[in-house]
Amino acid sequence: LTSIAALGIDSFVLSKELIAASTVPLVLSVLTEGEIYGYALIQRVRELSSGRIEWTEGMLYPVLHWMEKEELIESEWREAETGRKRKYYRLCKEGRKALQQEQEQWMTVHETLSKLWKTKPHLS
Amino acid sequence: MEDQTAFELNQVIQRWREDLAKSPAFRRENLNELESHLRDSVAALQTRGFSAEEAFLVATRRLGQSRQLEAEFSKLNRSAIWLERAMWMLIGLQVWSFFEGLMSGIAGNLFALGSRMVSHYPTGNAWPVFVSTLIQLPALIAAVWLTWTVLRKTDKFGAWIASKLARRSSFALCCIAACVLALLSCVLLIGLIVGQWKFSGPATVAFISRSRQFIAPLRTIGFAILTLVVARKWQGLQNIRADQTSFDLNQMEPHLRDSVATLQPRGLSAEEAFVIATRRIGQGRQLEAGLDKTNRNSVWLARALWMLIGIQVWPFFDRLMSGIAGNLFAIGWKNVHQIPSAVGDAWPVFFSALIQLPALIAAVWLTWKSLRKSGKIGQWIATKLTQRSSFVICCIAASVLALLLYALVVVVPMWWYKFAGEPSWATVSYIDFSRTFIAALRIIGFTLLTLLLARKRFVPQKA
Repeated sequence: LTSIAALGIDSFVLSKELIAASTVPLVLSVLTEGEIYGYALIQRVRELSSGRIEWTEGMLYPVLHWMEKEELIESEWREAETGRKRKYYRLCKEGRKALQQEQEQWMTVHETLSKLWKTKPHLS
Repeated sequence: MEDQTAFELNQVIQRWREDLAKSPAFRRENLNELESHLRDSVAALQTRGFSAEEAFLVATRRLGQSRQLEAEFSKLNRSAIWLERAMWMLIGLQVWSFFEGLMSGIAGNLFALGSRMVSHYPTGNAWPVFVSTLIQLPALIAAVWLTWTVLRKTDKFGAWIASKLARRSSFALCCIAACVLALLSCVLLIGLIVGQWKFSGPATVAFISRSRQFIAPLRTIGFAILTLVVARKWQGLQNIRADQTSFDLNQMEPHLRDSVATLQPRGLSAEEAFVIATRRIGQGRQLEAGLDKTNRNSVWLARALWMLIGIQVWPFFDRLMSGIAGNLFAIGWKNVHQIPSAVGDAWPVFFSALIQLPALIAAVWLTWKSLRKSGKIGQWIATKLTQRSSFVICCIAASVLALLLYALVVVVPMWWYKFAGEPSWATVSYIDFSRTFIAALRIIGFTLLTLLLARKRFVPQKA
């Protein structure tokens, strides 16, 4: 029985298309909390979504590099406490602007759907 | 903890990294970042009580399958991908033309030797040509086989050369050695052709070259189909990978399902738990070994694909351009009756070479440009390969197209000659002579270009 329950929770993950569309706003939003390296960023998203947003972890890096090329974020290799090097990402000015746009768009979708579904939008 | 002794985490991570590094899609910095991620992920899993081996397995799965990652990263490093392709096209071209020359030279000599012993053929000219074709055909197949086998065995040799390319001095040494080797192989091939003349008269040589004209369109078709077969196989491997992630928990044996259930609360997804569970009862290993092998095959299939493409696209432009240059020379030569004759035959050969050289450069440029622009056609063809019926149609269309293009480069120069007037035997031999010079120049040029591209590919750039 426990296995079925566990499976039930596990199958409730976001669709591929939605994950692809939400990656950039998620990354930008996590970066507003301060600079972070790739692995920790993924852990943060997993934790916030209670495991429902599951990325193929390696796929995040091409997105990060693309965002860096678009000057939304910038990066720097630095040594961590453990002595190993990690690449930290940080939000840029362009990134903040892009996040604002993303926010407006996602909120529009959210509000519209909420009205249709007749539930109150949870604005925080 | 007894696993620790058998399982060297650093070693396995190193191997995983080397496997990714085979693809040009990843720059060194990308690999550093992915490795750092993998180590974080492994460490986190180990604190949750998984062995190093299990942690590595889950962490690499989470990171994504290497071909999947390659596809995503390659979108960012387009130029690196094309650099790699150009390199394999060049390697394929050179290795192939060497073995083809060698094998068809040996076949020609066998025929010449045999024809000296058999003084009377049954009838007419058809028989000797047929017999020569019969010897040339296995030689062609042997050449394909040799090219493939030799290249597949040279992984270590290639890695050794790659390690020499970084330092300027050893790079220069490599260049010199490769050029000498290329010229020596040229001499060997020319020696084989001279052998045919020695063994027998011009009639035999004519028989041999006639039989090669039969083989050439056959080879053109064969290569066109082979290219498509390799492309299809390569795509098939990509699809296997995608399928392997899907599985059905409901059809699982009960004890496996229980095992999955106990693993999941330790932070694994159902799939990950399944992988670990099968591993614990000792079923997982073969699956991974199989995946490893498919990975290696996939890398080599992609290389073979680009070698084949290079071997076909290049000769087309090469023959087209050098044919046009030859015709230009033949037309010009008819109108110039007097040449500075002091040096005898050297001047016309020199003039012809002067026209052939830009033609060679134009052919290289055209090959490169047309391939780089063909991305959309390539993608479109790739979508047609998976279904058997459209694959067959592709094969037929490619064969017809290959034959038409072949006819174009063979027939058009002849028509042009007719239109411009038959060139004299002397003019044709001037052109041939100049082409021999150009060929030597081209072989050296291509060798150097290959090494240059390899240097760019394997030597890390400064960030």
